[in-house]
Formats: sequence, structure tokens, C-alpha cells
Amino acid sequence: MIRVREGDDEAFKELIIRFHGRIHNFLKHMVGNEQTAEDLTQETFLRVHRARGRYRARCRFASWLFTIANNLALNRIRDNPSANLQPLPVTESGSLPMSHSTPRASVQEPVGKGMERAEVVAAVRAALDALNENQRAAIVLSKFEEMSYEEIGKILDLGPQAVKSLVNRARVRLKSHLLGVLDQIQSRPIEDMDEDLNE
Amino acid sequence: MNKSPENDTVNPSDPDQDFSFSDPGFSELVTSYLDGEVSGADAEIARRSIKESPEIRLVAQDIQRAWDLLDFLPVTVSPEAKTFETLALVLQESGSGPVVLDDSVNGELSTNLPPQIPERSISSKFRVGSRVTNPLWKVALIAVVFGGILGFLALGVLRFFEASQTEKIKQVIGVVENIQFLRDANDIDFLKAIAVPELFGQPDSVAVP
Repeated sequence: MIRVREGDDEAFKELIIRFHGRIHNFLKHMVGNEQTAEDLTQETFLRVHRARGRYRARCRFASWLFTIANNLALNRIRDNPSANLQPLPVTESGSLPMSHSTPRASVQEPVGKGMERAEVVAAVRAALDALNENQRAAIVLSKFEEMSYEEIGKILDLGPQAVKSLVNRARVRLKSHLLGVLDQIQSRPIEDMDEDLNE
Repeated sequence: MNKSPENDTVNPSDPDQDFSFSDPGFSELVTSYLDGEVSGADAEIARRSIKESPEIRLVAQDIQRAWDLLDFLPVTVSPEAKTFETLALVLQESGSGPVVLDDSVNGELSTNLPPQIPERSISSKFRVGSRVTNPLWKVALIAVVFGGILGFLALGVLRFFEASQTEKIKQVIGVVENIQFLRDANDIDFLKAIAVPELFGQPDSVAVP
């Protein structure tokens, strides 16, 4: 990013190639709309390029980048709430238009007692959309970007305790929305958690 | 665990304390533990509570299983063309010139690409820069090169004739410089020497029979 700040376009290409997919996925989870996510991804990198002179090395680049993306997502959701959070089309294969989508879960269909994978995806998507923007951002950054509470705090401009409370409320709320699904799909074996606890 | 107004009911030093998810401080402790964000005494409290209390264990399991369900969400692998489209937009705005893509991405570009992006193949993955595409430039370049060659040849011919003329003048100058001596010598060679048109213009008048 230091090279980008000094006007090195080659370095900026490397950054786009490295982060484009991650930013796109984060925004897709935030706004729930493929095309809006794509527009915001491009806008994020345009903003980064315009503001590259203001980047300071003490700030982790990924945090800076996700902060810009998150702010753009929040602006879009507030400016045009009806255009966002439209359920993403889910097919049995899990593919989405204009992109190559693959589920992270390795569970094969059917996933549980009378529940197809597409139904689970729709329920999870709805549960994520039911969270407020900050909760959703915290969940997505923690789950998919594997960011620490400290990093999430930098992006959302929150202190450590606030992030801890935010993530807790988000996870409890997510569980509440998904209780119906949890009752129907195969439970994680109790022994797994015992092994975790004995480590 | 840090003390705060929200979680001051959680006391690591009290092993007999009853914990419940209705207590926000304890709930935060457990979720932080599941996220790997706590260590030491706090982690021990969470671990022991989950292990020993069926109620807490059940809630913690549900929280973790709901978390695992997020893995069902499709993760989009952004097409390479989309990445380069973003790249092209950024570089276009910065004025760095068009981006040229190679065969591996050519054809994947969507139709809303800026028209400035030529879909041509080059050896490198992509490059920034302008290229001369106007045929008038080529015509002008050929004209300049051809004119230069002609000029060079013309100059050479001119110098050749100038050198020939100089040699003749040198001969005449030799006669004029020595005319006094040649006249006094009354030599036939004198007459021959002055019998050149450059000296008197009328060769016949002085010609030696």
C-alpha cells in the first residue's frame, strides 16, 4: 500500500487482484444483492485509489479497505433500503448469476430431516438479514474474514467491550432465528464439543 | 475477564457462582470463548460452565451450530473479468491509460466494459500505456525516412562535383603563381601550361601548333 500511496499503479493492480473477491463477498453479505455488491466493490476500490495519499502505514490495509467498504454498504442501505437485502436467488446447485458461487459447507443434500440445502441457505440468509448492519458486519468479518474482535473494532470504530457485546448479541440473535433449522438438521455430535473442551 | 457494569456478576475467583445466559456478561464470555477471544481464568470459567451445566452446554451448542450454518451461504468467486473491469475503471480514472488483457481473460469481459478498453491480445497479462494506432503516423514516418535518404545521396553527388572543380582550380593556380618563371624560361611547356580555357577563354589564340 505504501507503493500505491506513491502512485505505483502496478502495486494497486496487485491489491485489487488480492482483495476484489473478499470485498465483493463481504458486501454481498452486507447488502444481500449481487449487482449492488458488485457496484459497491468497484466504488470501494475507486475510493481507495482516490484516498491513497491519506493512507497511514500504522493502519492495517485490510482494516482500512473493509472500513471503506462497510461505510459504503451502510450508506447504500440507508439511502435505498428497498433496493437492498433482496433474497439472493438460490438454486439447488447453489450457483448465482454473474458469478461462480460455492457453498462453504461440505454437507451433502439432504442436510437433515426433510430439509433441502436450498431451504437452509434461504433460512440462513434471512437470519443474517434480520440482524442490524453492525451486527451483520461483525458476524461476516468474524466468520468469513476470520478477523479478531480488535480488527472488527477498528473497522466499525468500536472499543473492545462494545465489539464483544455486539458479537454476542449477534450470535444469540442468529441462533434464535435459526432454531427452527437447527431442530431439523443433523446435530453436531456432542462428542465433538467434548473433544474441543478437553483440548 | 474485565470488570464492567455489564458483566460484574462474573467473578473468576468464585468457582461456585451460578452462571446463566440471561446474564449478558456471562453470555459474552461464552461467545467470546467460542470465538477464541478469551484465555486464562476467563477461558477456564467458560470451559467449565459448558462442560458441567447441561443448560449452558445446550445453549452454547446451539450458538455454535447456528454459527456453523453460515457455511451454507454461497461464497462468490469473483470472475477474473470483474476484477479487471474494476482495475480498468480505477486506472481510467487515474489517467494511466487503457488496460489490455491477454487471451486468458479476453472474451470473459462483460458488455458494460468501457469502450476504451481494447480487447486485444498481448504477451503480458495486462499493461498500461498508449499505443500509436493512427495510420497517418506511419505514412509520415516513412516519408521522413525516405526524404532523409534522398537528401543524403544528393549531398554526396554535390560534394563529388565540388571536389572535381577544386582540382582544376588548383592546376590553374599553379600556372598563375609560376607565370613569371615560366615566361622567362621561354619554354614550350609554358605555352602548354597557359593553353587552358580557364586562363584566357580562347584556347585557339594561344594554342601551340
